[in-house]
Formats: sequence, C-alpha cells, structure tokens
Amino acid sequence: MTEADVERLAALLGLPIEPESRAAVAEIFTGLLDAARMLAEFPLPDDAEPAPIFRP
Amino acid sequence: MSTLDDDASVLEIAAAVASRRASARAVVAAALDRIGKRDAALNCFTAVLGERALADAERIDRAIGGGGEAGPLAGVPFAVKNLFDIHGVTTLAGSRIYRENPPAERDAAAVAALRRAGAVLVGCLNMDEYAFGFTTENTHYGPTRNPHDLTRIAGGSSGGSAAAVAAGLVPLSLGSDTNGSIRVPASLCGVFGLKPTYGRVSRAGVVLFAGSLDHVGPFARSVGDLAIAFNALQGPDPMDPVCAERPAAPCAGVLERGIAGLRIGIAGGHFAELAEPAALEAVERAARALGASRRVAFPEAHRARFAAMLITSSEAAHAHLDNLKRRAADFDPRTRDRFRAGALIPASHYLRAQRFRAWFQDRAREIFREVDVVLTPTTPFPAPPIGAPTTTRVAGVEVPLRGHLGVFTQPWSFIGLPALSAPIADPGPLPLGVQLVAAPFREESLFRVAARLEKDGVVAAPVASARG
Repeated sequence: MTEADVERLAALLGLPIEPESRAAVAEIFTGLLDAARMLAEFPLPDDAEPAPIFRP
Repeated sequence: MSTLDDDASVLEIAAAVASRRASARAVVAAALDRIGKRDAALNCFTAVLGERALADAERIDRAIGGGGEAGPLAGVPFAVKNLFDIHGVTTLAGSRIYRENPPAERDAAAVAALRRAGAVLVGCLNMDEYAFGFTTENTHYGPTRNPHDLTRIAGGSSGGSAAAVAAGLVPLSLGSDTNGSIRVPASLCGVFGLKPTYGRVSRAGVVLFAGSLDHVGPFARSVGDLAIAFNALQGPDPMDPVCAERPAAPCAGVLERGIAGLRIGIAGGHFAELAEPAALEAVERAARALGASRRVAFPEAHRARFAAMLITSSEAAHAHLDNLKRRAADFDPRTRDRFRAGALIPASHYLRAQRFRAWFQDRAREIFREVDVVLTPTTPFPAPPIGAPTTTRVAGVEVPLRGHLGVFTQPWSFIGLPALSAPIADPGPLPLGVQLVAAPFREESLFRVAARLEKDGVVAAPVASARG
C-alpha cells in the first residue's frame, strides 16, 4: 500500500488527504488489510450470514 | 443528620438519604467539593454541573421530607462520559467539532433512567475523541490520569468514567463500550465495570461510535452498587432500534444466591497468550477461589478481534465521513488518520467480517451450552505511562501498545456477550481486572460470580490514593 494508492482510493470517496498525512494513513490501512487477509484465509461456510441479533 | 464517609457506596448513600439520616444535598455538595479539590490533578471532568446538581438534590430531599417515595438511587451522585446527551448541555463526544452543536434537548435514556431512580447528575467525563481509543489521551481536553499513578493512563475510551469512580469523586458513572471501552479502563483503574448484553440497555441519546457494536453500562466500586445501577438502567426502549424487547432482569437480588449450579470455565488459547504474568495470575487466583479448573477454547478468537477491528473502523469512519471530508484538521491527531484509513476499507472486507461474526457467535453459543461463565484477563497488562511509545513487548512479542489493551475484550463485544470486569484485590503496584463473560442476557450469572469473588476478598475496589 503506497501513498499514491491511498490518494487514489480516497479520491474515489471524495476524501481529501493532505500529502503529509498519506504515509500515516497508508500504514494504518495496511494494518487493516492485513486483518482482512487473516479473515479471508479462514474458510467460512456459505450459511454464515451477517445478522447482529443475539439470543440466549 | 449524619455525615457519610467520602467513600460511601451507592447502597449506603441511597439508604441514608431515603431514611433521612443524610440529605441528598449534603451528599452531592461533598461530591462537588471532592471534584473541586482533586479533579485538577486527574482531569476526569469536562463539565461540572454544580448548581443543577444541588437543585436536583434539594428537590429529592423535599420529596422524601414530604413523604414521597425515595428511589433506589436516592441522592447518589453520578457522572457520565461526555457522549451521553444531557438536557441543556452540548454533547462533546471528546471532540472539538461537536462544541459547535446546540445543547441537547433531552437527557439520554440511560441518564434519565438513573435520574428517575433518584441519582443526581454532577457532570460529564473525559474520553477518547468519538470513543476511538483505549487510553483517554485526548488532545483537545488533555489526558485523564490514573488515580493510582498520575503518570499513567486511565484507559479508555471511558477513561474519565473509570477514574472518577476509582478516585472516589463519585460512586457511580456511565460509559460506553464498543471493543472494551468500559472494561479496559475499569481494569486499569481498579473498579468494577459492566458491559451488558448488546441491546440490554438503551443507547438513545448517546453518540454512537460503531453502531453494530456499541453498548452502554455502569462503573462502580462494589458488585452491589453495580447491580443496583444495572437494575435501573434496563428495559426496552423504542428510541433505540437495537434495544431488546425483553423485560428487565433485576440482578441486585441474586448476589446472595452464591455460585451453586454455575459451571465456570477458564478461557484458554488466545485468552492465555500475549499477556503479562500478573494478568494471567489474576485469572488463576479467581479460578482457584471459585473452584474452577475447566479450560475452554474459543476457536478463532484472534480472527474475531481482526473482524471487530474492520467493522469498527468502517462504521466509525462512515459516521464521521462528512466531517473528515470538510474539516479533518479539527479532529484529534490521535484519531484522524485512523478514521481516514477506516473510510477506505472495501465493502467486501466489512461484509466478510460481519459474516465471520455470525459464525463466531454460533461457536460461542455452543460453548455456553456447556459453561455458564468464562474467566479471562480483562487487559494484558496494567496501565502504561501517558505518552508511552506506540509498541511494547509482551511475552517476547512486539505488539501495538494501545490497540493490544483490547486483545481480550474485543472478541466478546464483537458478539454482544455480557462481560464484567472485576478488579483483583491487592494486585501489586497497579490495578488489573478479571473479566467474567456469559451467554447473551445472562448478566445474572456474572453478578453471582462477581459477588462470590468479592465476598471472598478476591476482588475489591478501594478508593485509589494517587502517586506520581
């Protein structure tokens, strides 16, 4: 994840990020992508559906 | 009229005020006096509502004097994290930007519930900006200092709420918890903190951080005080769309019931790794006292934490996206770039995290058919210094110091389970909590176990005396 990647992604959202902050955002975003990769490595069954409902 | 000690409990105050042995006005005036003398060093409060609190207290005294019924929290001073709406006060949520908002038009549901029970609101408490942090190192309002050691953090994001109770400024406070923001500061400040089941307590009138994970709950210095506050807070509320349509389940009456029949386990794997020995020993002490020896493994708990991070970052960034676009310079430098990184998360990552949540919830449900309460450390280490470096070493592994504070709390809030942090007695130089976790809507089991530990002297929350 480069500063240029961050700039392009943020532009898609219309989110300005000043040049001096792009490295910090890229570092944090890399951590989030690592978390997403850890999650993607786990084979979820097809019937795992998101439903934030909690029952006993 | 007698004078209550400064460290009087919620139950002692309410009993004294109800029986007119003490006046609510005197109790509230004493709390305001403590705040005036001690909060400059601690920085728990962002606003003190002195005149209003005294007027409320006098109203309660008049009502009781006139033969009216005293509420279960009559005359009890309390304070709330400054993301709860208070009628006539601007809700800051730890931010500079919200200073420009008009005053709230009504109290948050949880504030109103405590006031209906007779408690007296004395002020608002410091937090991480928009609840995005575990430390309450707030750039706009300054760090809240740990009452046990003023050079250390109080934890967060409800740091002011935990520290104000630990220091004895008030006996009761409210906070919110998305990934551990009640339990982490409770552990670091040495007080009791309850994150109820998701949906158990209304969040109406609370600034949300990550809505699908947000909870509110109380802090106190004893199990009985926590239970009586929880009783008052419960109940359905159509103003909070996720609030459960379940009748209140009072817990104050179960504390004498003991733990007979409760199956208590000790969480292994993820919950026994990457922690300092003192945190693990605190759990073992509690387990020995309870006669618990069964080890319970929650599969993929480390991935649950990653999923919670993705959901939190994504939902939080979405909530603040307009301000991130228009006025990022007004955010706290400690949160700004984390919000911006969260905004960039692709939807597919967010949705996979939500699907994983359903899977993990099913695994936990299976395990909680076999056990009633599970013990884990609340935090992996005690309070770090304010302004500490970004990483630390735990069990020989380098970890992000601030984020790692939530390593044992995040997997439970992720799936809405009720969790209570209880401060281990005589922990050494700094407090540490033991976390009790149960199945959804089984707070009663947590209170029974916590009460037993308190009765046996294994957990305790004496008023802190600061060093540093």
